[in-house]
Amino acid sequence: MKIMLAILAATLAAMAAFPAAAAVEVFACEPEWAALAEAIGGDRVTTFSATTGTQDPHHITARPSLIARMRTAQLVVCTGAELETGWLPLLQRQAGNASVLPRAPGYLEAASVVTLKEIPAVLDRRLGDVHAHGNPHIQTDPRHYLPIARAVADRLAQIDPAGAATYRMRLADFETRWQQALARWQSEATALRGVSVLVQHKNLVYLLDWLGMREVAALEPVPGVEPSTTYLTELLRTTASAQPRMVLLAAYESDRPARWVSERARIPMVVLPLTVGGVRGADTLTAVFDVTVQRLLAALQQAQR
Amino acid sequence: MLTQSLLGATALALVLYAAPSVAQQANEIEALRQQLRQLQARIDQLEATQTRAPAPGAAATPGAAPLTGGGGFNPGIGLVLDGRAGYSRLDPETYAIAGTPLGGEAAEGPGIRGLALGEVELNVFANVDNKFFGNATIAVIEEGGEAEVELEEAFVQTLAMPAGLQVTAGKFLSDIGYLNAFHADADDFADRPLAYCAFLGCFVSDAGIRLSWVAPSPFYMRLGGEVMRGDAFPAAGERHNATGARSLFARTGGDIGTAWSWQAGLSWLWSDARDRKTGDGPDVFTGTTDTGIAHLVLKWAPRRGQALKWQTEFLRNHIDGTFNAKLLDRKDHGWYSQLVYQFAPQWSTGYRYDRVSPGDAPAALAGTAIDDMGHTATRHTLVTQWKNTEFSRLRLQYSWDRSRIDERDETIQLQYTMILGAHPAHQY
Repeated sequence: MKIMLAILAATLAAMAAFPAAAAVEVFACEPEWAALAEAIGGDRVTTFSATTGTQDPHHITARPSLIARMRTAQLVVCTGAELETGWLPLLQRQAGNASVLPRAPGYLEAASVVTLKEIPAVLDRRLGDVHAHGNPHIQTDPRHYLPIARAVADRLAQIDPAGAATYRMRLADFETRWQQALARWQSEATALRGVSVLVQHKNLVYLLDWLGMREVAALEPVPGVEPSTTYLTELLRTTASAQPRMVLLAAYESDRPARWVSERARIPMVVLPLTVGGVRGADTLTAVFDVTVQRLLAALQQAQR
Repeated sequence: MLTQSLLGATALALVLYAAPSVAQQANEIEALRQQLRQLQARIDQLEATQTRAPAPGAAATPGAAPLTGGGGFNPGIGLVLDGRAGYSRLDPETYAIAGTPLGGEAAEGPGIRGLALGEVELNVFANVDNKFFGNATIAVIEEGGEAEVELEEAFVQTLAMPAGLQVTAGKFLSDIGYLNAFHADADDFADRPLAYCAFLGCFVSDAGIRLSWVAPSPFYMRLGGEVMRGDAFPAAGERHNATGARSLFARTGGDIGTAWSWQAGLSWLWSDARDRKTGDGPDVFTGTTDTGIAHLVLKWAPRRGQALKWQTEFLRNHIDGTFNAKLLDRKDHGWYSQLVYQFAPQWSTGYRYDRVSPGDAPAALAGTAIDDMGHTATRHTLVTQWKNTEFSRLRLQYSWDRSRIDERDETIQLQYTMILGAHPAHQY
């Protein structure tokens, strides 16, 4: 009992030693939302990302450090649409922070302001890790960042009304820069239009839709299950007529299936960042799409040789 | 003293929770007004920009409800199916841990012979509304053709209490130690550590109330206490107005770099027992037991599909009372350490070492269940498991078991665990 009281006293003393920061604390589930919050919030916010660019946001655990961060957060920005269903609800329940619970102004799901694709008609686990609300990998289409940035600015202004003018200004600035970047990427990537590709996991549907590329098939038999070589052999046979030009995967995935397909079918394998920090050089939001377009164009050139 | 202060603090927290202050309501109204003003501004802005074509694929639906739910189910309903086939060198009926009276789940022992149906567990959970979460877990165990229903958990929990406080009420798995709060289907082994079974009846689940607090600190710190009826081993019989078990716990943890994380904790459980019966005799105990538990968990997760988890708990158990009407006052110690390595996305393997050293039995109690006759119970366990998805698992476990005083046991178990429907997220 004495030990437990001593721990309580030590905790209070340690808390006094770390005074709360003045800036709005933003807890982002993925690095892209941390980068976006920083673009909108500037010096008025401090951001923290629960996952890194090399981690699969489906599969992390509700670590103690994440509970501590969520306890003090004023705004939580996540993809939603069940992408973080394995850990986020638990963090929200354990952190004891009422201001970031679902439906509170301090909780924003990026997926709630864009239109989701691949909403399943039936929910059956036989079909693998399907998400009832649709494919949650919305961050791969750069056009989505415009409505999401507006939502982030709205929420920040709501939480920190004194900074509303700053957020509005920075949002306008972001929108201008992003529109220019979109126009640049779209003109650079015209050669990719209509190109057929294989993907390892179904997490690139929004990117392919933006670039006008065609997904012939996914290597995973059902989402979240690694394919066997027998399955891949059969897949290559049935998709040969569609002439896939390259095989794509995210930086956080094991490249075994894609590498096997790349070697067997003699098509380039392209590792894409998907988010900030996914691969070397993709260290800002703009750089993520710069690298993505560059890598796809390089692979196309290689495939044509 | 502890019971009164914990109950008092919990009651105060609940009263404050139920009666939000007028100032808070005024704040809420002000916040709503502000939202309205912002929405009006947005509408004006949208109307002004309507002539501009919206970016394709970016059809905004601002203010849409969050999309995170229970996979389309409300509430989340999950059913755990568990089945086993086993070999046991010694008769599982004769199971014992040297020098300790076994209660709760421990009395049944971990071994099985032949085929067995494990627990069928029904789990229902949901947010009740914006302020409460509820969860019930009902286990059905079939033995000798008769189904027995066991209520493992049935609790409600506050969601939106201020200042990081949380109250849990009902029947719940106590937050003492590390492993105790986990459901058996989340364990890395087919059975609980010896020390847990010897001192806690494998797990403590009791009706009561818990108050916990997460500190708003840059590091993780969670403190809390529980007052429980005292129906679960090592407590027994109704005493002190059915508040026969009390606990305090503290947990802390953090990250080391991006791949490593840890959690450490210290907890204490005080239990009163009146005429607690254990064994076939039965042996009767009246008195108090206080159990201290220190735990440390270290995880390494460098990439998806590869992880290492090291978990150790040390238990100290002080028994003070009368055992079969003879005075007994002694301290027992026990610990386990386990290492589980996930070497491929679907495969993992692990090793656990167990040890329980009971204190000396007084001369008057020589030869009874609490006399270890100079033997220290130890066990080595190896496990390998294959998970097809998060929802299905096959497991093969071997143990070399020196729990009994006289003879060594060896057991092999093949187990399947399948989850139908929703499954609550795994805690750290």
